Amino acid sequence: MILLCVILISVNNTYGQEKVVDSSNDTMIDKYFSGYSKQPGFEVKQMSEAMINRSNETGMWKHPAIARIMKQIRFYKYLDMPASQEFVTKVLDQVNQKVKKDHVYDEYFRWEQNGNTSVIIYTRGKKAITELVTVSIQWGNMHVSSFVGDAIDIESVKALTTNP
Amino acid sequence: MKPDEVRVLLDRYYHAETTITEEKTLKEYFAQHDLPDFEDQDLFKVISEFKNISHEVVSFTGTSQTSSQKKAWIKMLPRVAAVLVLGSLITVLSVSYIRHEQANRELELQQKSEADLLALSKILNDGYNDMNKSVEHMVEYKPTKN
Repeated sequence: MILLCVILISVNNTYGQEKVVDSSNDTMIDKYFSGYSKQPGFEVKQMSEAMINRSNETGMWKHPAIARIMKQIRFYKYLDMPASQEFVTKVLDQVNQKVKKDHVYDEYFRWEQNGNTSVIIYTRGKKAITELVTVSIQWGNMHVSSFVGDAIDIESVKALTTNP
Repeated sequence: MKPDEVRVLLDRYYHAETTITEEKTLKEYFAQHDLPDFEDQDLFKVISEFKNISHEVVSFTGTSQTSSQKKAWIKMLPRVAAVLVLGSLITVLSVSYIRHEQANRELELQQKSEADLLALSKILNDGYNDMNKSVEHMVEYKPTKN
């Protein structure tokens, strides 16, 4: 039985939860949003480098253009949490302050509707974009997605819906 | 051996002072002779008739021990085989289940990342398209659903 347990644990470690790589804790989600992890409905999921590599190797992406972009991505993580307008305002203010203070991220794009922010895109990296973050607020839900890579070509991401 | 000497030996025998050799001598004596007025004479005769009862060192041979162990193992063999088969079956099923779950997780994340990339692309395009428009115009162009 002990041998069986050892086998199962090793199998689970091999095929189960992906090993955490260094970059997994180095996203905007980890830096600025992890403080809200106690919020009800807070959910973070990640696609590790190994998972992305597997999908790249097996050609599992829906479209060649996505596959091309995903070759630039080493790590993907997203966060979902329910958020009221007051809560969103509070979170975005805090994130904004941290962004201005840390000088790690640049606000690339912000979309406001009726005075309320609905989308913000942040980039990290001066010479090459190493992280592309989207914060979107829709229907009482805050969604943050983070794509980490060595040099992400934002133009190829933009071209995804125009020249697929 | 003279009867007197036998009586001396017997006296020592009942005091548990005889050696193994002396006890052998007693047994051999009573197998062939009678000692007058000795009550336990029959007992010594009976003892001497049991050939297996001797003062030789009793040893259990290795062969008989090994064979009993073998028998025990043979009896255990079906149980061991059953446990191994069951263990293998559980392992195979667990691996299949974990792989299946892992594949589902990866597929879900893959779809989510694709959706996020497409949404990001759309946002960028909408942003570029409306870059020269005023915020007020954008609000009119994309009214809230309320």
